[in-house]
Amino acid sequence: MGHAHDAHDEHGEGYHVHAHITSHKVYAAILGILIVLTGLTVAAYRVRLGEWNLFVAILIAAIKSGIVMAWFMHLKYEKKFNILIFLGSFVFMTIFLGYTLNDVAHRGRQGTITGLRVDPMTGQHAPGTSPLLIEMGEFEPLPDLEGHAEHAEHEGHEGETAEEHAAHEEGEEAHEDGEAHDHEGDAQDEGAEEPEE
Amino acid sequence: MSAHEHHGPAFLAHHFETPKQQFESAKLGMWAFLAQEILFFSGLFVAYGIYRTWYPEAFSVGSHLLDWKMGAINTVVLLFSSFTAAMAVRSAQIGEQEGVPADKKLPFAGRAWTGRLLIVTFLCAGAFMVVKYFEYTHKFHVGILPGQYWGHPNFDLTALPNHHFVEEVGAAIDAAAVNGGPGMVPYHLRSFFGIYFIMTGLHGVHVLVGMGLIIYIYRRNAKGEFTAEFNTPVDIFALYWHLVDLVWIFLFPLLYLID
Repeated sequence: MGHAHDAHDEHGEGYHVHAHITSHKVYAAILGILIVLTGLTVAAYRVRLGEWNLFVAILIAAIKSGIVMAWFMHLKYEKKFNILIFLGSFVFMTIFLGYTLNDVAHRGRQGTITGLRVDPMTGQHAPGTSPLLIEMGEFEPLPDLEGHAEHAEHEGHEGETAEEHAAHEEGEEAHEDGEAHDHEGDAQDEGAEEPEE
Repeated sequence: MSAHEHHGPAFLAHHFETPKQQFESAKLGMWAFLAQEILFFSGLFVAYGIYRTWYPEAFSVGSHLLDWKMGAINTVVLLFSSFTAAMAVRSAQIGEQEGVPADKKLPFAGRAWTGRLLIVTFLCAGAFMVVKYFEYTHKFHVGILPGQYWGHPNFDLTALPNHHFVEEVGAAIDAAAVNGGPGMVPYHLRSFFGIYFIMTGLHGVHVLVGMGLIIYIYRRNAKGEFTAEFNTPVDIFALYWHLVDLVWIFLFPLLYLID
């Protein structure tokens, strides 16, 4: 702790820069904490927490970045206006991430009918409904409506679960644009796929 | 006091009234730039979030194709370099401590220490890039490339190519908690690696830019330009360097540690 210098006192307050100087011991302690938290990140990854793994990883990363900002970047001692500018960018990032991911998670996949949870024609999950969402229980698997031509070919698959079924549908749906299909769709035509790639 | 009659110290640029004003302007500009950097990277994180929501299997398998030990080593290396950068700023802020009795002098401070700490920071940045180089070249060698180049040149799982693509991807599929069953390669592994290469690549570019800045700051420090009164460039550089560290703090668990 201390002041940058005391020379040029004749200029009075507000002329020279008075930087806050942090002790080297504090910096060393901060480094130690950050490395311990890195170890904790790896340890948390080794524990199977399911959906919570991502949450824990982001939480620890947020704590680490908070520590880096507060001490290494001196945000603790920074002017309030500069803090506002910097942390403000995180607010906008949160809005960007939050709204986009909320949309993506509840809409299903790109290039499919938006806003539909259930296909009104068949009672099936809307094409493009993410298998993840079905897995997470956001969508109750609905029974097949018999006699619908589009789904007839899937009935031969033994032991196929609702989510696999949904994934098949997506695969077919996406064949139209030739780009966005997942691996379940590929399973049957893996060989045919390769030359173009 | 008019800026024209007595302009003050040599480091004070003509268009500033006082060193304090000059310092605060520089800081404000830097924070605005860093806010821009956050927004720049946030676009990539949003892309990551969208693709991870869509293709959890691809991300699970893709993550198992990355060596988390390499990522962890690089995390510690970058954290340490952030520490040395912060210490370099402290050293420059304290300055030479002329006229201070030897027993009252603060340790690790002064021009020589600023230089040493900058060199250590530079070496850490270099070590980071070397680890990254080995990671990238291994991926290229095996045939793991972004987007449409995925599996290039011999993306044929039935005909064994002369590299370890099949073994590596197969092992990753077996290890991944979320996968489509034995031997099923998630189609969007290519998307995962597109995101992986762009995010780590742009981060790597930031590290390289940082290394260039360290050379520039080091040379100015060696010329004796920085004193306890004026050390803004060291301060500003360190802020940039910490931001590069911040981005990596998030990239490491998000890319390397997906169950």
